Amino acid sequence: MLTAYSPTTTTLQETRSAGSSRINSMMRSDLPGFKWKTSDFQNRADSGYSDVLLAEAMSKIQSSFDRIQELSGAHAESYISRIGNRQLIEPEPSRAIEVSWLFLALSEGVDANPTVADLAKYVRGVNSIVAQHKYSLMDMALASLSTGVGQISTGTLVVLARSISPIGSHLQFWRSFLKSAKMALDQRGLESGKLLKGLI
Amino acid sequence: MTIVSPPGATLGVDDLIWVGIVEPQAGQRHCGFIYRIGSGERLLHLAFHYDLRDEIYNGTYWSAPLGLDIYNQAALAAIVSTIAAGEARVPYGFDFSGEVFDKANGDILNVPPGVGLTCATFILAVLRTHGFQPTNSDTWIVRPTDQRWQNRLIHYMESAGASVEHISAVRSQPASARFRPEEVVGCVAIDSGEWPVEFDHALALAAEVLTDMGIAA
Repeated sequence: MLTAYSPTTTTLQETRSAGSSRINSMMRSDLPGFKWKTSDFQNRADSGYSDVLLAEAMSKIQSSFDRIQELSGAHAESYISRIGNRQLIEPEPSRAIEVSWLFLALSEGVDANPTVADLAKYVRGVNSIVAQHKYSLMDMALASLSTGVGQISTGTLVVLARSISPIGSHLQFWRSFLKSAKMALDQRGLESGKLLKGLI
Repeated sequence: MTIVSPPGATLGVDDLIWVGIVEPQAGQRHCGFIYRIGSGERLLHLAFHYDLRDEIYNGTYWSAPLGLDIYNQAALAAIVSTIAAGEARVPYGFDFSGEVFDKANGDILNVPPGVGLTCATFILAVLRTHGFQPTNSDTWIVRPTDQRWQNRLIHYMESAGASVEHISAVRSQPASARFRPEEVVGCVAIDSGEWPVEFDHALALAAEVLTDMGIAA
């Protein structure tokens, strides 16, 4: 039996400031290749500076993705300007990739009931990465989501699975994400086979 | 038991996405998604060639909630709202085997001339792109009236200014099996546990939809 879904209860905006405990648990959901320093946040989390923590955490997530981009060489391409006989090699201007949706997904809390408008933000967030064919970044996101799957609400899990599914075959962590999602849904007493029908 | 509720019926508070069907003229039916976002409902439908419309739903369609659990209804409503908020340009065509949604990003592909969707296959394509299989499309057959219907729509497309290349490509294709609006509506409205629906079952569901609408099958 599915839990009744209320589109007008807790919104993502509300969950953003919902408290520091979820932020700390998210901090333990390390993005591969990036070192969180949970202790950096602990004292202030206990003091209730959740907005500061959110901003800082989002900045760290963005930084990690920027760093991954550099390391992967996805943006290592350069363009060459010729001035006379000289070649000036300049870094290609990179387009910003929105990853705040990933943070929101990990921080909203398992009991959140995101609205359709909230869920649409996730769809747009996924699309913003996929539209640039940054599959390696999406894999990083999936790895992080898989680790933090227990913190993600059912509505968000399902919309992420559905919106990422068209490129699932390109992603290294797609299957492991689905497996984690299925386990999380099962643990909640939900019909994972029905919720993820066509994907697993 | 009815499948579709009449126009003007209050949409259920526990649902988030429906299929709607209307008969704008005798024998010609049209369908689309009705979805709830915020405090209102909107209608996303492929009106015609490169004419995907997202409008405030005015309650004039027969409707049924999609046969999905509430979490997948919410997910699909979010996906549909994202398509609606974009600038998707969807060509009209009858070849459902042709892909128009990019598997890489769920967006609409720049498809070659001749490939496109109808109002009914638009619904199926959105669902299929995101892992839902309401129909077993391989079981659909070409019926004698399909070619006549396609010829009429090709004429409309010409009138609407579709490119010569697109019209020519559509004409050159053999008649495709037609997914009629009432068939698609009937299929997606039943519980997803019964998906994918075979052609024969779809015919029975379509007959029920038409009966609900007071139309002789």
